[in-house]
Amino acid sequence: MSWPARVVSTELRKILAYRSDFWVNFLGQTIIQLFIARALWQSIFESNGQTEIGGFTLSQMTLYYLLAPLTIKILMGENIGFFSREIYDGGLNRYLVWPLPPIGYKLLTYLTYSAFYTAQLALLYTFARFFLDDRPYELSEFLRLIAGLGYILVAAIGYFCMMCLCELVAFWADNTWSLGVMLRFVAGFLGGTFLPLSFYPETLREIIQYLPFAAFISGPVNLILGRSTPMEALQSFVVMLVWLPILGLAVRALWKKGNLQYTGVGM
Amino acid sequence: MRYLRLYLHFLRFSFSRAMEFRLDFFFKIIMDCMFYVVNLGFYKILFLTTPMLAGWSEDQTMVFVSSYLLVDALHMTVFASNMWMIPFSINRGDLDSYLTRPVSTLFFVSLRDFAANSFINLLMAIGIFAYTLMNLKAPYTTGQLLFYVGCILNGWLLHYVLQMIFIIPVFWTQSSRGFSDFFFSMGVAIERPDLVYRGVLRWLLTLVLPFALIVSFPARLFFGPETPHLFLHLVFVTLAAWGFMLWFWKKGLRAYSSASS
Repeated sequence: MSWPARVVSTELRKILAYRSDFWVNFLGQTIIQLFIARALWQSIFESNGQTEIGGFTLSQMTLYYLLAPLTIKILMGENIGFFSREIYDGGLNRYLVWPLPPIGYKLLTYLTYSAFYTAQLALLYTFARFFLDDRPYELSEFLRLIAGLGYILVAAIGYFCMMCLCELVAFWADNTWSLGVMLRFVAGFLGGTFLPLSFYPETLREIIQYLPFAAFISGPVNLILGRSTPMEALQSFVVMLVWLPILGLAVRALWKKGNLQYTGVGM
Repeated sequence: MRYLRLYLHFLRFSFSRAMEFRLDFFFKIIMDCMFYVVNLGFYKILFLTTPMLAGWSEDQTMVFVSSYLLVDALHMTVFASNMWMIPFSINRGDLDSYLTRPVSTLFFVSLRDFAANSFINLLMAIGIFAYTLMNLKAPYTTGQLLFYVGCILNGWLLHYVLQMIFIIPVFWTQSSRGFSDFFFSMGVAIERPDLVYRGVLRWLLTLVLPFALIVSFPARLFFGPETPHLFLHLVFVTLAAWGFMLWFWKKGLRAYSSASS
C-alpha cells in the first residue's frame, strides 16, 4: 500500500473510532441547525406574507441552509490545531525521519475528513431534495451535484492553505487557535454560510465576489442548487483558481520562514 | 468566604498568566470582536428583507442580539476556558488532583481559569448592550431594566448548566470532547427569538434543552406584555436544569475511573 493510501485509511479509522460522538455531533450540527434556520425563515416568510424572498422559496432556502453549513464543514476538514500543536510541543521533529513531505501529509489527512463529509453532504442533500422539492429530478441536477462536490473538494485545498497560514503563525506566537476561529467567522460571513449573499447590500457584494470566501462556499452551493448560470459558476471557479496559487505560495513562504525559527524542543 | 478568597486567587493567577502570552491575548480580543461584528451584521442584513422578526422590530431585535453577546462574553470570561479543559481532565485522569482537594470539585473545575482577554470583550459587550438600549424606541423603567439584567444573568448560568450537561457524558463516552461540538451547534438556538420555533422544536428548545430560555425569554419579558407564566416557566426550567446537572455530575464522578476514564 502506498503512503497516501495508508494515511487515508488511518484517518478514516480515526473518524469512525468514536461512533457515538460522531453521530450525535453529526446530527446536531446538521439536522438541528437546519431546523433552526428553517424555523427562522418560515417565520419571516409568514410575517411578510410572501412565498418568495430574494429569489428563494422556503424549500429552496431550507436546501441552502443544508448545503452551506455542510460546505464549510467540508472546507474545514480536520479541526483547528493540526500544525500549531506540533510546533508548540516539538512534534514537528518527526518529519525529519518520516519519509513524507509534512505539508503533503497534512493536506492528505485534511482532505480525508473533507472527502468523508462530502459523502455525507451528497447523501443528505439527495435525501432532502426529494422531500423538499416537488420538481422532477433531472439528469442536469445530478450533474450539478457531482460538479459541485468536485468544486468543494478543490476549494477545501484553498481553505487548507488559509488554515495553514493561521496555524503556521505558531512559529512566532504562543497560541493560534483564535486565528482559526477568526477565519471561520470571516469565511462564514463573507462566504454566505449565515445568509445567502444575494441578501447582502450591492456594494458589499461587489467586493466579496473577488474574495476567496464567496468562491469557496457560495460558488459550489449555488452551482448545486442551480441558482447560478454556467457563466457565473465558471467565474466563481476561476476566482477560486486564481486564489489557490496565491495562498499556496504564501504557505510555502511562511513555512520556510517559520522553519528557520523552529527550535525543535517545543516553543 | 473561603470560596470567594479562592476565587480571588484564581483571578490573580489568570491575569498574570494572560500577560505572559500577550500576542495570544490580543488575538483572542480580536476574535471576540469579530464574533460581535458577524452577529450584528447578520441581523442588520436580515432586516433588509423584513421589517419585523417574530413580532420584534429592528431596535428590539438589536437589544436581543446585544443581550446574547453579553451572555456569551460573560460565559467566555468566567467559564469557557475551564469547560474546554474538563473533558481532557476526565479523559487523562487529571481530575484526581481536584478530587483530593478540600473544595467542591465542580467549583474548582468550572471556575479555576478566568479569561482576562474576554474580560476586555465583556466591557465591549456591555457597551454594545447599553448602546442598543439607548436606541430602543419603546419606553422602560429602571425596575424593568434591572429585572431584565437579572434574567440575563440567570440565562448566563443556565448556559453554563447546559454546557455541563453536554460535557458530563465524557465520563462514559471516553472521548476527549464529549458532546461539546453538539452543544456549540445548538448554540445558534440561543441566537434566535424563541417565537420562531414551533411544534416539536419549540418543545425541545424551551423544555428539554432550554436554549431558548437563555436570552429570548428574558427579552420577551422585557419587551412585554407577557403573562407571569413565562417567568414561572423560566424559573422552573432553570431550577430543574440545575438539579439535573448536579445529579448528573455526581453520577459521572461515580463512573470516573481515574486515568483513561
